[in-house]
Amino acid sequence: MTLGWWIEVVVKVGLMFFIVLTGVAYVSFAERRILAHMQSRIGPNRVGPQGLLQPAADALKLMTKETIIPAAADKILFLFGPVFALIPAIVAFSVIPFGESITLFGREIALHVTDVNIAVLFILALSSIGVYGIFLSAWASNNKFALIGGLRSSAQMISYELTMGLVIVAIVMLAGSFSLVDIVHAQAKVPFILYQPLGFVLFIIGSLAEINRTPFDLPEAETELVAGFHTEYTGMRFAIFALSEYANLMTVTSLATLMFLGGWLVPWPSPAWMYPLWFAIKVLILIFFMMWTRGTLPRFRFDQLMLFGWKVLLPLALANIVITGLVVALLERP
Amino acid sequence: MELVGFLLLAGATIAGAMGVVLQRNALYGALSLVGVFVATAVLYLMLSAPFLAVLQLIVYAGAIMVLFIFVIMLISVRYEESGEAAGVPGGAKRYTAMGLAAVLVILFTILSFKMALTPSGSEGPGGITELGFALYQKYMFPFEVASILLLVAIVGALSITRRHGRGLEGNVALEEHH
Amino acid sequence: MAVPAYLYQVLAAVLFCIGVMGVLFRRNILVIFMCVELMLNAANLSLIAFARALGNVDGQVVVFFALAVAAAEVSVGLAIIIDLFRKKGTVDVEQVSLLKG
Repeated sequence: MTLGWWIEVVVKVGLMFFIVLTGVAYVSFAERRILAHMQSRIGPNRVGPQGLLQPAADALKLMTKETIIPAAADKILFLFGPVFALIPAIVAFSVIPFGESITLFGREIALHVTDVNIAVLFILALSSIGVYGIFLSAWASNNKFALIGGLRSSAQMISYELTMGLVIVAIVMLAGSFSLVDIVHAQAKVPFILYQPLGFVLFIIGSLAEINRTPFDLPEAETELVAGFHTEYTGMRFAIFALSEYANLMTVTSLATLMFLGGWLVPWPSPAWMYPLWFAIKVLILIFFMMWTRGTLPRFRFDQLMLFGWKVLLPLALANIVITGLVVALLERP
Repeated sequence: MELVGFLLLAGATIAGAMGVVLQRNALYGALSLVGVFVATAVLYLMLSAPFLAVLQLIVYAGAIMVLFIFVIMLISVRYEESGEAAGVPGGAKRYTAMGLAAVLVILFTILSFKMALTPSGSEGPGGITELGFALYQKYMFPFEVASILLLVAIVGALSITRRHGRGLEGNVALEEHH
Repeated sequence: MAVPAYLYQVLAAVLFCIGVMGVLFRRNILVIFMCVELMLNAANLSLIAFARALGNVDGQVVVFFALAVAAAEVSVGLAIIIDLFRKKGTVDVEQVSLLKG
């Protein structure tokens, strides 16, 4: 609890907030441009050079919009719903390591905010709590469309969390630890995507469903249920939902990078300070892939979605665990 | 420092528990209970049980309470009046209950004080590895029984809420007006 | 300064008693059920505090199983409550106190 410790924590938390918030702003901007090009149009390019100030313009617009609360809505829950959605999304970043420990000013500083030896489980727990924001906001809106959208969305999130959790179990079996730093170190020779191709596919599909993105975004598709659980939200509150969705996107891609693509490790020798750069590049590749799926695939109908999650993905994830366990046990036998 | 943290968390759990018991609106009570579970999870972290802390968040706060809140929401949609009399009845019932509670608390305090247990200074009972070994070696049989119990619970819950005589459409939580 | 072990037990006892009072005083069956969960939680807290004090992992294993049992119990209990609501149209325990139906 020395002064050095406090300074370190405050700087790291500030840096984390900065990275998350600007990352979210520019990921949303990048999505609009990338989707536009995939759809043979241009996307926002007027505000600032090449449209790079568009997120700032959007933020300003959303902040100045009037906050409308439906008369029969549950006021406390209506106001706090978005907060429940945002907090887990941002807190998840506190356990994501960006690189090896660096030595600055004579202290060894690890590149994540906290050093938890159960990091992966913690992120899973946070995504379980993130479900609350959705259906509480839906309920508080006192709007049937919002309620149906919210319940569907939370049912979907809970179902696909199972698949993600089981894939994480297989990875933990390979790495021998729940700590994300240890998982990356266990991939020093071979990234786990080569050992767990099925796991990687399952995790990517599961995480697309978990963050309510196409092809699993029926609960919030504009043509289906008005706008799903955030129908009644205006201005800044709506911005908070969008922010939490993109923050979740960044979290799951970072998790996939750390667990499957080897985190910050690269096959060629690299100075330690470049590790966060490699990490960022891999995360951006995965984010691009997710935007690519959004521009390409049609969305699932809700019953197809639930069937897929329970009858296809879950048995595959279980089979993955069994096979991984068998292989690990057989190979460890001296 | 740790004491301050403990007192804050203890205050949060007790406030949440009072919220569960005293709130008229069942939904707010459920949210208070979620608060209790989160605070308890942090207490588990302080007690060197990180795995159980996270498990508490995933299972209790993330699954059980979600189920509770779904049921509360679905039932309140049909069941308009809360029909609850005053939150806590007065008179003899109240004093007996409070007396009983006070007796229990005092008894427990004296007993645990007398046992003179001190926190084991060091890390506590190991971590996930030790828990894993205990689960898979010493407590293997209860582990398997627990998995069968969960299967029984799934089948039981489905069969209780099923409407007889229908196929897949039998499992609808409440009546729907068509 | 470390927290003396008995404080955790006192906290668990207080939570348990609050849960008991909730079960005795409330009429909404969902709230009663939630107070039962509160009592279970208090017992879990007590077990983990003892596990820490004794340096033993057995307390944590018991809590692990208690968590699984609580999950199973809640799902079946809520199924029963839903069925009760469908048949009687109310979740007020004063009104469903007959064993009939």
